[in-house]
Amino acid sequence: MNISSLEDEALISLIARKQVEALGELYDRYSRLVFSLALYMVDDQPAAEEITQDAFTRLWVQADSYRPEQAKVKTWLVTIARNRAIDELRRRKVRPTSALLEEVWETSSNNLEEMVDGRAQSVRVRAALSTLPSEQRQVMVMAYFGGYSQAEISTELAMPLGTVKTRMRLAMQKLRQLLTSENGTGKSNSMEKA
Amino acid sequence: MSNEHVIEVIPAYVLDDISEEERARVQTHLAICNLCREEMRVFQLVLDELPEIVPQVTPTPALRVHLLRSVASLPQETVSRGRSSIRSAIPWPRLSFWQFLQGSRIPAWVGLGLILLLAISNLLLWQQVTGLRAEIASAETDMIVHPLHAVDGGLATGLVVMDPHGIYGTIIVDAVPSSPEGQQYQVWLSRGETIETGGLFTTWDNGYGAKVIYAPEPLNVYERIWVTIEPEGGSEHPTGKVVLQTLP
Repeated sequence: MNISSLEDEALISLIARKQVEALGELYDRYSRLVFSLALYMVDDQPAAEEITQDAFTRLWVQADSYRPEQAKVKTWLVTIARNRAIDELRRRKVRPTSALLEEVWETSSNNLEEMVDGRAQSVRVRAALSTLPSEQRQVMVMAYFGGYSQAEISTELAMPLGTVKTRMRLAMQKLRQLLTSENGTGKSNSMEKA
Repeated sequence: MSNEHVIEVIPAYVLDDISEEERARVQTHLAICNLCREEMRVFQLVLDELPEIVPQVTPTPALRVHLLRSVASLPQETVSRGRSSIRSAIPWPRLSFWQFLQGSRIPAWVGLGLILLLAISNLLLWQQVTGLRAEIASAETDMIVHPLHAVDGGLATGLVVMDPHGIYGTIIVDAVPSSPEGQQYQVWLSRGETIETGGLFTTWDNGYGAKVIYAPEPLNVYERIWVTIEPEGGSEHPTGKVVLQTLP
């Protein structure tokens, strides 16, 4: 059996039967994404490695409870890693400020043209995020990458909670339109493939 | 309540930023509403895209090795659960042993012989079980412990506990003061001239701290383990004061 040709869901079935090679294959597919997200959020390599290890270990332990109809494997892994990173940020009582998150965003956006490694998906998402009004992007980036709750964003930015919720919803709706539009920056089926 | 659409709170739901009560309400509604479920699915697809924008960094190859080794040594609960379910599906006679004997045409003396045979067999099995238990107990307690000592003769103390293969290891410290602002404790491991970092940790106000140690090689190959105080985020090589160390 050529394990590298299997779909993620098939690999999960093998992992549920405790086949280490299947976990190795899934690790090869997603460890870079999971590790990069964790590192971006906690800005600490050893902690990011610990989060990555935890995410894949949890997948190993809970593979038999995976339900494909509820989430893609990638979504499941990323959610575990992001939640662990948020726990780590809360434990440290250190959060990236909205200004820092925006700065990181600006820096990485300026490097768009340097991304020649075929990560068209990344370019597409960045392009979509770039088109958001800055106040909407700010709450989105704070919530997703900074692990801020909407109430915490409200406090941090000194704005009513209702405004935060509205901006978040508008940002999500705009991103959805941009990422799923047929003639825009991408197609809906390309999202499914991600 | 479950008939009210929950589109307004779906962004918070997919970001897991929602109270338990509200989550229950959303889930109840999602179970019956295709419209909101589709809305949630699309929002989730949007969130799936976001990690793609962060600069991609490849973790060290050692992490893969460590992960695969560590999961391989975890108990295989799923497999054993599977076996028990197969076993429970096997039909089993509902007669007691005496009913079985009475219903059969086996003479009484053969029955008594069988009982004696069963008793001896049970005794032998019991001896085997006792032996296996003793083996398992010794294997479970066969952890390697390295004491850590304060270099300055202070109260700080610690332990590094690892499994016999050096795959898992944890450092536990006590009476180590909270690290000063902008600094953290860092674990180091050395073998010959090679020095590796084993991770960073902080201590609680009571001086207690614990940290899982990660290293490129199994922990039992290292000759020395020690802790220094370093700038927050850690150093490439030890630069600060040594706080704890294993004895040579």
